[in-house]
Amino acid sequence: MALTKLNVRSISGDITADQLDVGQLGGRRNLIINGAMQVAQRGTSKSFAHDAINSGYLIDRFDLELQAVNDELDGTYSQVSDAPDGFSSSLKWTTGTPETTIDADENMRLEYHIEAQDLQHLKYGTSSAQSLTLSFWVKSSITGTYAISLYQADGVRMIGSTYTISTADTWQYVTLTFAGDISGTMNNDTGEGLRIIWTLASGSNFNVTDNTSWGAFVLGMFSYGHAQNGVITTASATWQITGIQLEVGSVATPFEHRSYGEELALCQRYYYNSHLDGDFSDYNGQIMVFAAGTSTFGATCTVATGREYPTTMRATPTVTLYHQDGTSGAVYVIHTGAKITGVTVFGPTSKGFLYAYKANGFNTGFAYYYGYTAEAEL
Amino acid sequence: MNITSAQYCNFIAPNGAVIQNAIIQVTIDGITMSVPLDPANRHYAEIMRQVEAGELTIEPADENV
Repeated sequence: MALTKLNVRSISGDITADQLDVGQLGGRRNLIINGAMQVAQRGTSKSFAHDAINSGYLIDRFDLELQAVNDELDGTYSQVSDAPDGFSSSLKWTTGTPETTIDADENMRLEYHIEAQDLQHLKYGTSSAQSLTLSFWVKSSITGTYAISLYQADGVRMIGSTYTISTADTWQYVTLTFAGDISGTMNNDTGEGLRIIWTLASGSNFNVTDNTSWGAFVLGMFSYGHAQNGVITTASATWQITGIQLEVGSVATPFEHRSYGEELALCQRYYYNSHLDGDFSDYNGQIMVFAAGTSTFGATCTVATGREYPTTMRATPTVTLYHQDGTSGAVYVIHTGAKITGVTVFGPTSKGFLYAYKANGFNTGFAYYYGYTAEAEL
Repeated sequence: MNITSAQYCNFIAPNGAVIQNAIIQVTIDGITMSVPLDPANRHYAEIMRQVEAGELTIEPADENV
C-alpha cells in the first residue's frame, strides 16, 4: 500500500523539565515483575502454619516468611480478585489461628528479591547513586504503622521506612522514596541485588535500630518502626497488596501495566510449571517421554528423556518431577499404568535437564509421563 | 523451608561411568525435589546452611546407583 497523505496534528503546551524528571520515561519503568499479582503458577491458595509450611512462594516472585513464629499461628496466603480500580488481582494473607504473643525473635514478612544485574543503573557505590520510589496499594483489617525495608545483599546494608494504614478494609495508595546508596555494593551478577521487605509482624529483636538512612545491616534494623502486629495476633485478620511499582527517581508514576503474557515470561526465569497453574495432580501438563538404554526393547535402563525450559533460568534450578496423581519424584508408566517413585533428574543446567533418572527404573523404548517444575528464585 | 530429608545421588552415565554426588534428592515441605550443587540455588544454599549449623545431615548416595 502506497502512502499518499500524512496528516500531522500539532502538539500544544509546554513540557517542562521537572515533568520529565521521573527516571526512565518509556516502558520498563517498573523494576518489579508481577507487581499486579496476575501470575500464580503455583496455584491460588497455600496454607501456612507454625508447625508445617512456614515459608515460600505462591504468587510468582512473592515470598512469604514466618520466621520463628512457632507457637500457634496458621493462615492462608492467596491470590484473590479483590483489588483497587484498574487491577484484577491482589495478594492476601488471612490469619486463621492467631499467635497469642509476639516473642522477640519472631517476624513475619512478605519479600521480593531483585536480581543484581538488573539494577546496575542504580549506580550504587558511586556519588551518583539513584534514588528509588516504591508505590503500591495496600488494604488491611488492622490499622496501624507497618515497616518496609530495602536490603542490599552484596553490601549487607539496609534502609527502611514506614507507612500507616489509617482506615480498615479500604484500599490505600502508598508511595515511599529511598535515597540512593553512595556507599553500597551491587555486583553485576545473577545473585540478589535488592530485597524489599514488607513486615507484617515483628518481635523486638528486629525493630530497635534506626534504618531511615542506608547503613551496615544489623538485625535491629530489619523492621524498624513497625508498630502493629495485629495482623497475626487477630483471628481472621487480613492484609492485602497489589500494584507494586519500584522505579528510579523520586516521583511515583502511574503503575506500568504489562500483559499477562509478558509477566508470565518474565516470571519463568525464576519458576516454571509444566502443569496448568497450581494443578499438579492431573495428566494435563504431563509430558510424554521415552526411556533409552540398551538396544533391546524393554531391557531395564536408567534414563528417560529430559526437558528444555521455556527460557534460560536465573541459576540451575531445583527440579521436581510429578506423577499425574501429584506424587513428587515420580513418573507414570504408560504401558502398564505403574508408578515409578524415587526418580530424580540428571544434568540440570539453567536451560534444561538431560534425563529423568532412576537406576534400572525404566525400560528401553517404553513411554512415560511426567510433569515438572523448575525453580530458581532468589 | 522445612527440610526433612536429603541424600546425595550418584548417576551412571551412558558410557557407564559413575558420577558421584551429582545431585541432592531432598524433601522440602513434603515434596521430593532434585537440588543441584549450585551455590546460587536457594535450596542448595539453605541445605548447606543447615548442614553447617548441625541441623541437617545429607545422607550418602546409595552404593549401587
